[in-house]
Amino acid sequence: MKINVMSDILKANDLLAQGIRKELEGRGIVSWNIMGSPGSGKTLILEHLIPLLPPHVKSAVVEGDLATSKDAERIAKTGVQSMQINTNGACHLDAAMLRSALSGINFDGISILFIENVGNLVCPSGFDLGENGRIIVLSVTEGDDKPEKYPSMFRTADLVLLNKIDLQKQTDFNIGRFSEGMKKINPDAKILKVSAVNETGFAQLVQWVVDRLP
Amino acid sequence: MHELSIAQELLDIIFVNAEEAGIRSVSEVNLRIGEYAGIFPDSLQFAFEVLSQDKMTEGASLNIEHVAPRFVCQKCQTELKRGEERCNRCGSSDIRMIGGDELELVSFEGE
Repeated sequence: MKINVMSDILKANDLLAQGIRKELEGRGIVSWNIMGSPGSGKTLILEHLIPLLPPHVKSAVVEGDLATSKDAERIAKTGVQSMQINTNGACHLDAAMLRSALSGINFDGISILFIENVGNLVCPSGFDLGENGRIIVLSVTEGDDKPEKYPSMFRTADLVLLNKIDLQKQTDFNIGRFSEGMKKINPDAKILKVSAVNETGFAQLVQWVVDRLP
Repeated sequence: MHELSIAQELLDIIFVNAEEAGIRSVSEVNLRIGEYAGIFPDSLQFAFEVLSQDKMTEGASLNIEHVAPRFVCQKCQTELKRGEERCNRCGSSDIRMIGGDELELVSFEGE
């Protein structure tokens, strides 16, 4: 007997994600799924971005890692609520993990939720978490060919942060080649050159985030 | 390695549908997977086999239809070949990749 199903394999995750999106939007919260390789600078960018946001813009952060609560502790020092998800080996966050982490956050007065995914340029891209958009962090030390080599990740980006731009001269990273690659994969994504260590490009980053407040 | 989670989701969908149809043993599973879905077929095959042990899908063959993305000129809607930088009809460089991220269970067979 043949059974025709024609179902998205990640349908269960997608349905849960839709529920999360609806709930967050209902509370007036915009949520960003932040993805990128380990060491690309996702956490450091948040540590520098959060204090630069206007005082009335309150944010909360969910940190996804295989193990340890190091990143959530770093974020907590900025004074915002941070929740750690330990995936215990899983290479990505899924909507069910986020759902349970959200139950530990007090959303009163919060207008932005940053979800820092597990450091990985492949696996997290397929899993909708219920976010409103995606921010991909790529550091120049990783190479300018990444959009074409990891299209599943870069094609879903709303914003790409080209981090560690202060190190560009020490690498062979070519912005032109990178932009060409992005144009083929995802011409709509905004690209910002930043450096989290010295906050290069952070005025534009803050503006980009503030412009997308509900 | 997210293929393991995907294989588990796949099995969950098969088990529910098989139970409804009164199927106790699955022999074939037919999938459509886009080239840009970020799936490594061998890993998915391996995960499917591991998770199928002592289940109704044990020994079932996993047939994957690979789906290529389409490249479409946004100005005149002409369908282009992969790698073409400009539309061969109107010259526009506004070319979008459509699809290629499919991850679908089409059907399965069993008795």
